[in-house]
Amino acid sequence: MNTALPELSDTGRPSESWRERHASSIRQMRLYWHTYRRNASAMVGLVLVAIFLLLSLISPWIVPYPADATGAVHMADKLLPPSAAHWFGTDEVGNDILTRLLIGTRLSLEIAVIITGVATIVGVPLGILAGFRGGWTREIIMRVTDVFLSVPALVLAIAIVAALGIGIVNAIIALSLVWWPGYVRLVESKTLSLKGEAYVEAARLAGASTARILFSHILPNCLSPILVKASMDMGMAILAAASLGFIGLGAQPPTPEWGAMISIGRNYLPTWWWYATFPGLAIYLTVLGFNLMGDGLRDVFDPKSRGR
Amino acid sequence: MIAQLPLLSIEDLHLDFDTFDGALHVLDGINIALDAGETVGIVGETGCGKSVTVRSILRLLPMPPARFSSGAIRFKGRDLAVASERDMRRIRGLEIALIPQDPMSYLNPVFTVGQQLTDVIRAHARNRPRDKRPAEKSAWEKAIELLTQVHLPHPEKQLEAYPRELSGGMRQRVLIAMALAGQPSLLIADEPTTALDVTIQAQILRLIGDLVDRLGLAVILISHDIGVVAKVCRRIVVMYAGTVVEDASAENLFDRPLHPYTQGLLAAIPKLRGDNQQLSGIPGSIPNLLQPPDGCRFYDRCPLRMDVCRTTKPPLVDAGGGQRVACHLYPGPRQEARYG
Amino acid sequence: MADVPLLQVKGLTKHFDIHSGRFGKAVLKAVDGIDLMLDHGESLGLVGESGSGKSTVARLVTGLHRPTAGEILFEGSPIQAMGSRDRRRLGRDIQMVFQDPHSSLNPRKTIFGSIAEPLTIHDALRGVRLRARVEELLETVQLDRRFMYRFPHELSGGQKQRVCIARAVALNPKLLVLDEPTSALDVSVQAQILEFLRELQDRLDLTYLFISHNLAVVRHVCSRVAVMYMGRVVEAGPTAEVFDQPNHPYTKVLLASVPEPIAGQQEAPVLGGDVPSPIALPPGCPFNPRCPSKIGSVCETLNPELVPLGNGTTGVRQVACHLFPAQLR
Repeated sequence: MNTALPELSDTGRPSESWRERHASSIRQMRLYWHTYRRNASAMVGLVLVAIFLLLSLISPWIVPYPADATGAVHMADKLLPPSAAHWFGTDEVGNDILTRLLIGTRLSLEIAVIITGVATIVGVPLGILAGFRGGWTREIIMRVTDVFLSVPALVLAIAIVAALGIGIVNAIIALSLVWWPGYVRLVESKTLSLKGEAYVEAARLAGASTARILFSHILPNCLSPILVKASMDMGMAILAAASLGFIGLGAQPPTPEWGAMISIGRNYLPTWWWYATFPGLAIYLTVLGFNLMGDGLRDVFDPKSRGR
Repeated sequence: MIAQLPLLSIEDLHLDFDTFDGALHVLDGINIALDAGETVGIVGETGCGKSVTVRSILRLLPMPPARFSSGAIRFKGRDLAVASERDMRRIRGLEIALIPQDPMSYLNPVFTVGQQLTDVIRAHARNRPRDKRPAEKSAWEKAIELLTQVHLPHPEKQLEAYPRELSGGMRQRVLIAMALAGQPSLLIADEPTTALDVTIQAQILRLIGDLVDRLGLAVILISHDIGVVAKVCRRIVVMYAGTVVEDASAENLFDRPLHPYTQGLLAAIPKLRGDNQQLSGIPGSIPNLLQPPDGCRFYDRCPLRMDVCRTTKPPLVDAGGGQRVACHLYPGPRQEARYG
Repeated sequence: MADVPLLQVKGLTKHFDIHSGRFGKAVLKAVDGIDLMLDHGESLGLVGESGSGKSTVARLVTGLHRPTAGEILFEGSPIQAMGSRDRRRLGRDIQMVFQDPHSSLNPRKTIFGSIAEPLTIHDALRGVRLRARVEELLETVQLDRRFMYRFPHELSGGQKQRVCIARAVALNPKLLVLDEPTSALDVSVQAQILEFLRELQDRLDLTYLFISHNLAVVRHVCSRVAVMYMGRVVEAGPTAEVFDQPNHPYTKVLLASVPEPIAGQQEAPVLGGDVPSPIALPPGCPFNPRCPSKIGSVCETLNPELVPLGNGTTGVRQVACHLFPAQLR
């Protein structure tokens, strides 16, 4: 057997550059990007999401009337239609709607990230555990999941908020509590199919512990569907929070949450149409963006689902 | 000798697949002809294009991204490559039928065998041109007749069964019955026994052989296993990387394989009898179909290559005894006549 | 050479409890009491069709399944009696190459990651030494070391299978179980891998348990063969002898069913009937419903034992058939 040492530099690092070593991954990422780019609706989604993220980052610095975001009152300017001074008009206490909308973007992002984040952190490990272990573990986890899933998410969230008290924080808590079961289902079924793969058996033969198999073999191969669902969920979480806000259980004034804004703006339709319309448009475009992006991601990761 | 019009004649067929990276030149001038009642086997390894070839006969490929860049597929004189979709519907099943590889994925699990079979029978009755519609016989009776033809025991019971209740061999018989439902003159079998056990495979191959004898069908049988093809087919076509490299009777092919690829392929097959010989593989792999070589596609791996092989594509020529080969080692009769 | 066989299997049985649609709860007798023996340096082929149980035997021997009954002895020590520590150590001695190279490698791991896994777990190698060992293994299977950085989908079937072989021999095992290692490969690639396996066996002093449905491949690689049907061994012996002069009716039919690359084959006897389901095994000899040489009611009631047939020229032949009753002492 050849015992000559391979080409290693004195520091023990391999002779190839980082670029060469990761050429395959780079190529794969490039391929994903090119596939994604060719999908027009996916690109629209990406643009919308990018705008959303950008605005949520820089909004505090670009809003024309910063004080209005926290509920300054200017009754003299109340319910003014869209104009050069107020692009989206003003609300019933004279606040600039554009300002409140932009600050609300940040809030929506927080909502989306927290809810989706909690849901994945809780749901994914449970799902993998249920799928891999089987037996009683699976039974218990799946039955609990089923109980949560059998109640309409929003109704359950309403009940939780009613118990905890009204407010945006409790709304986020409530929604996080009802969001995770979807991930359990998704990951459990993917894990079941991955469990039987030959490379998992090979890992067992190599002496891998269960933890190692779950982290190193099962989880990485579950990432694609999780990513797709998570990106769609970001939009849906915003919508759900807005719905709670709309019925008055979520954010309370003066918090500039989009759903809460529509809730009040509804009363001023149709004469003072701008009040409800612009927040509505914001919700629509944001959710649309995330949905289109999620669709695009799914097409990239799972070409079979692409309709031809 | 007056040449009779062949039943099927694939003439210089070129097929490309448009992909993200460019056009894959999948078929590079395929020439295969088949007379009525003849049995031809197509063998080759991954990427040779045998499956693509037969699916293009039936136009079962998604036509973008696949497209014919030149050539013709003449069936009973008519060019199928340019026929309309409506005309193709009259041909699929009624004139040319396909037996696919994996019976389970071609049978709908939520319908019974009987429902699927009678569905096919009725569809054929509708698609047949009015003047050729057969006498009225219920689809059910016809189904039982077909299942009997493929030697499925207790046909009435099988009609009520769901596909998952049948074994692999029985499912394949059902698919053969479906293929025969339209009374085709040409049967294409695409790896029909690859998913089956060896003893069941022998049954199915014998069945196909019987049907050929009894019904006078022409058959194109595709397999990666030359032995399978040898059991049913009189003639064998060897394909490599989208080209036909050799086309000969089974005897001639095994007795004196002409093309270096055929020789390599036969030398790579382990023999069931006789002692442990050294197996020789064919090192290397098929050329990149995005930028195929100008000359012979086997050039890189050929142990007998010459300079001319790198620059010029070898034409498929007659090497005597009905054996055709595409290799510069065999210049062909026309050139020989020059010196004769 | 040690006197004790490297691997010995006695009365090995594996039953699965399954929920069968029609029968409710049923027992699937995948392996039904088999005996096998493998000496150091040998290669034993296990052949059979679907339902024969050969793949299950592979998984029992490597420890992926636990037997329902029977013994597995490795170098004389029974595996079942071993504690978990010894069992882990056994993982170094017995390794496996799987059938489908396309699903044997984690698509998200680089080749380096896949080969390195057993080394990190068992030998706790890391850094320079790990890299050196992986490169050494790639060289053993005749792959360029730059393959380390690639992902499985960038490799051909033959290359993937070589990587799997590299992974399997990483810990210098004594016994290599190969479950249809070339079935998913083209013939020309198969030939290279088979020749490579033969040569590797000598070089690394390996013992092979080679499972395949392809009799010609087994003839090429294995000095001894055991033919399985419905969870039982029906015939065993030196490969050349068993294939040239088969004793068991099933072996005869199996051999006759293999399509050979010769023209104008004579009409060989074709076996009728279907491969029965291992759930509803008929009583008596499992082959009796399809057997062309069935004697009579004894075949339907009594399951024949695997008995030695006097010495073949190069080794003991065994057969389980009422046509060859046990020799009376």
